[in-house]
Amino acid sequence: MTKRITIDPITRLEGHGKIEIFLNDDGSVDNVFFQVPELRGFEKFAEGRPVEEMPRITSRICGVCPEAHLAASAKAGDAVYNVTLPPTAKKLRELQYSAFVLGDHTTHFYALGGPDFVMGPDADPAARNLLGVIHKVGVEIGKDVIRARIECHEVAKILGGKPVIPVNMLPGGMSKGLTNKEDHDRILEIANHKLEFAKFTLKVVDDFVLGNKDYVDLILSDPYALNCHNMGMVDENNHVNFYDGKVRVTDTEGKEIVKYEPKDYLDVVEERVLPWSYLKFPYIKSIGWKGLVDGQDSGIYRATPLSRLNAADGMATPLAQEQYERFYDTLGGKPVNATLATHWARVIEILYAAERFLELAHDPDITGPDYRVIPTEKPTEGVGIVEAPRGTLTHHYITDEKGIVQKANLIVGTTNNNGAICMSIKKAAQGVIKAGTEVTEPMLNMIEMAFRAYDPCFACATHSLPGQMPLEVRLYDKEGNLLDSKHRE
Amino acid sequence: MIMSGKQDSMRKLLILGVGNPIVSDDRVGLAVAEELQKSPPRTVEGVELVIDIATEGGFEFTEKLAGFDGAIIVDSIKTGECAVGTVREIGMNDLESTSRLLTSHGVGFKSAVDFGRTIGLKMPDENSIRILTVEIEDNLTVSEEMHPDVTKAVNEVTECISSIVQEDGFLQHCGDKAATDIVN
Repeated sequence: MTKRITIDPITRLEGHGKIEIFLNDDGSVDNVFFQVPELRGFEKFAEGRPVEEMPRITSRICGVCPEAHLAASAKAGDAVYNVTLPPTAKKLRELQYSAFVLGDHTTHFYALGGPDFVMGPDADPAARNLLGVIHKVGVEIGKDVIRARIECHEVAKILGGKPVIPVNMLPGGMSKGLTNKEDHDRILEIANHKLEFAKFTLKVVDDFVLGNKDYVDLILSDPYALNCHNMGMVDENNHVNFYDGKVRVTDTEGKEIVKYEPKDYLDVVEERVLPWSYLKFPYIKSIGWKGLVDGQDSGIYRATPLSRLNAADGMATPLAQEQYERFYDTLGGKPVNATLATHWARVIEILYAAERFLELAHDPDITGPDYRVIPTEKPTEGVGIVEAPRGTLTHHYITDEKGIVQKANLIVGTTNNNGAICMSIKKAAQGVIKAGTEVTEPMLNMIEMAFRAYDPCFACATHSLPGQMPLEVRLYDKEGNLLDSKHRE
Repeated sequence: MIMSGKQDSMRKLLILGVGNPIVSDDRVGLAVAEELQKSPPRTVEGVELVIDIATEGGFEFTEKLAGFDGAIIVDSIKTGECAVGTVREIGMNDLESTSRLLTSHGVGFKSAVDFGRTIGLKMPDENSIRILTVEIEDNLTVSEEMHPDVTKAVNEVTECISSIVQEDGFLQHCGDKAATDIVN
């Protein structure tokens, strides 16, 4: 008898995602569909607006990663006006961006990804959450997490006047400099705090994940492996960079496929529409669309903390580089295709962000007075790319001669990973749901762990609850009759 | 953020509008906060009123509610069970039916409040949190325009809040719990 399992949102709500798992007659998994409704009308909303307003507008699309949209949009505006930023402006943007990534990654690690490992993937769901982590690791960790968020927001407030949804990046640079000594001292103080916190977080990974052989085996197990190409922004040394550089794509064996300037993104990436999904499926154009399959011959890629490490040759800061080397030594060499290793990669990025934050805070240019140049060239077209915490984020605007947006296009971080998320869920489902077995909550969690590693955020890919979805699992027979239902938040 | 009647000995009451400012009806909570900021409601003596907004959710709720004795939350809801623009009050146990309070970045509203309490923040107790919702139609289209019936509901919610902040019972209850240290 063929069965159908739906991991569905709470039914009273619209605007959320769902996972449907179709079973073969013997109870094994045949296919999986991951669906989320798409935010619509952005292009129309952008048309007719001055391009300099776009950073302020697009940063409001998503309450979770406003700085990512702010920075990508401001960079696109720089390109529209063909303006080169003064060093102070570029460094201020990167400093603010480093603090943002650090805060965002921290939230994900402790609230979403960490509980599966600290508490265990089959722990009681009532305890498998941040509160459980606090009870196990200690109340101080909870204070540190909230302090990390508050201080990272404080950085945005110092630099931009607003702690959430800052609006201080604009074509040509920043609206405000870091010229006040008291503000600079506070930035330095926060940067030092954050570096210590990042080191502590690495220790949590060591103590609770790497120190447990079962977890390492789980990370490296086949249901959580996905052999995809990797995308990530790199600097001139092919080191990971969140804010600026070229986007590098490496294949499943670690060889470079392409390294492109933001303006050339349409030469590299194409998007596929599938009838059952609201979200498009980006793929590498030169390889082509081969369907939802992984492997060297498939055009599907990942753009995640793990793929950023895979696509790069190393990290630009010393402590992160040490961890980068240890990461590949521990997990069997480069590239790593273990989806669950994304959590460790994310923590290495926390360390990099903290080191880069502190490095920039000490940079003599950071307090300089030249934090903006006024664009003077005739506006035309521009593309801006940054690495959002959950993937490569592209903003593309075409304007008329007055700088009024005529056309806009966005590829957000989670959309890049749509194909890979679908395949990861399918592999995990195939690994944990076996013929004749009852679907249990721990099994569902094991499936969820596959997409949770991506830190998917549909607040901009689609409007919905950002982050973890409320889920309901439904088991259907071949005729569509409901056999069983499991509910979780 | 706007404050009125500020004194150290006062009980603190937060009015928090929740939503996304550029996703159609989802902005209704923010619209209510904007209206109240233009014309803050009168409240009883001894209460400091703070009007604020939240656009992210999750831990943002922990940060926003910390230090308050009571809170009134305004959010959109999409149930399909009543007419668009319908204003309803729900309890903490009904949070799964709200569009933003349930979970954000992995942390739901109730979890965010519990989390704050667990780490020693002073948080309002559950009896001192009131949640008002407005039934909406569209939370997927990027737009600053709301459905006419949702727009009309903004006044109803502000009147409702004006009434609540003058309820002696609710405000007297706020702050019954002893305050603890706040993370700095």
